[in-house]
Amino acid sequence: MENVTLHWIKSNACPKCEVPPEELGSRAGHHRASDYTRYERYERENPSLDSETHHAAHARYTNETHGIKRGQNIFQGLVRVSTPDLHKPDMLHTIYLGLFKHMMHWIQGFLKKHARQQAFDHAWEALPPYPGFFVPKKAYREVTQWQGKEMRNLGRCLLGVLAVALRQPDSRQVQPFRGALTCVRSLLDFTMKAQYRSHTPETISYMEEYATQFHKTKDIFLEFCISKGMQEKADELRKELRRQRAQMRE
Amino acid sequence: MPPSQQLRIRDDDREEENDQCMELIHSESYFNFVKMHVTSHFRDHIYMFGNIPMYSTEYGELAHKEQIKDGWRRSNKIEAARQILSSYGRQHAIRMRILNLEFLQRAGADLPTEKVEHLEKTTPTPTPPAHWRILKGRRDNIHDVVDFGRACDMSPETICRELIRYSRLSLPSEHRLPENAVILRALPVELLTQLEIPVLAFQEFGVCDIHWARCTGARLFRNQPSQNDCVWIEAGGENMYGALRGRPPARPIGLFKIPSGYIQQDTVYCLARVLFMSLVDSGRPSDLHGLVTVQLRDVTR
Repeated sequence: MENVTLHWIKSNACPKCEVPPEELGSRAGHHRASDYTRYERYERENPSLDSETHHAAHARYTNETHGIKRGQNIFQGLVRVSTPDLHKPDMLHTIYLGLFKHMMHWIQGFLKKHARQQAFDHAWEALPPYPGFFVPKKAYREVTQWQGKEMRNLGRCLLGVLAVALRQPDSRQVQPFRGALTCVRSLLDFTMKAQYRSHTPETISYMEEYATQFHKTKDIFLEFCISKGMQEKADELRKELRRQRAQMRE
Repeated sequence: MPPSQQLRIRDDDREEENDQCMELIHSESYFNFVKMHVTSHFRDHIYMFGNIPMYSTEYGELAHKEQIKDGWRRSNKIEAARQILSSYGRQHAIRMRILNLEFLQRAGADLPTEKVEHLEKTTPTPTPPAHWRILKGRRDNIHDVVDFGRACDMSPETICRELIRYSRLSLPSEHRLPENAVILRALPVELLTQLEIPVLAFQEFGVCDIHWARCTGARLFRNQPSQNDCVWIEAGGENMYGALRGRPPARPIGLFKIPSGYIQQDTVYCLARVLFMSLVDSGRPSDLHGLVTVQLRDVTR
């Protein structure tokens, strides 16, 4: 949220590159870095922007600049300042409170679908103490708010707990369980590598490999990554189907 | 319509509903959010600026306590902003001053006597980093092997047998324990509840993190259930136990030591009763999740 204000961008825009909003979730392709000089030139060469209404001018500009809003960017034009490079990756908000939180939401949906929530809670409560590891006192579902430190702690034990919860699958569950474990494992491995304090080309290539693996396997959780609007749509569709069926029977 | 047919129709309807909803969800759901994309810039960032945790806001948010909240507590809550700023500024300046004076002292500069005295008072004496394991938290009322057996729910005969076994297998001949059960039973024993283990910090040279392993046996720990933290034990060569390379996990349930002067003049025997875990698939990591599976078994050593 801070980046949205600071970099004066739309909330679904990358502060570093020109990735279109519909490609944020895929890893395919390399996108051009944001170029503020070009955007300034575009603004200069299109005096019609000033004559348009405020809303229309903004829409046209953000469309052309891939999410960067018009005017008010405090870094724009500063000497020796590369605005796209000012954004720094942030483990706390991007990984622990971002992806981990999303992933836990997907996992909860996945466990519910396969009736493994109870097994997950049992394994979660039975976690043994270990130096430097804080044993959670409540079941995951009972905690309403998570701190970054707790999420980092969760990352250490999640794969083990999930592996225990998804033990002994029946014939229909083998493939989804395998997919879910591979996906969670690659994201956790990626996070572990990202935490390294020093890197070699080898560790970076491992990190990239895990990220690629995560993107390849994440579709197993797609049905649990739904917004409220999407859920409402699905409920409406369900109601509509029932209504049609009732009419047909009459 | 018979009830079995009704049930079948209802199941078919539900399945059809689910299929259609899934189709809709799969066609319209997506992972397109910024946090998913930002991770793709990690690689370039590492090449250009260095490691990721260095820039994480975690440290900044932690500093909020020391720089702002502590200052607020020390202030008189009237126009606190200025007081908070000056409070942290003062602390920072004092720390810098002490560091400068220490550096000058080490470099052999001629400092005034009162400054040296002050420096000695304020600077904490640096403790050398521990490179060995330390037992702490001595329990009262445990004097010998019999008391220890009672506290650990183990017969003195079993303890003596295990001690002799350990002595024969693992101790050099000059440090062996006596094999007479009467002498062994009368040996003074101290029961301890905490083990400090220095563990080399990851990607740091010569820096150790201290891991505190609690071992309260059957007793409660801070009004909570007993706490016996799992530890890695050295139990063979590196070629044993698969990926664990000779270090299987175990749960200590009694830490004890035999003080010097009873068996050997200058030797303290630090020992532990541990509950072993057996390795599934000989310690080979699972292809699926990459973890080694262990099971608790009722074998203590």
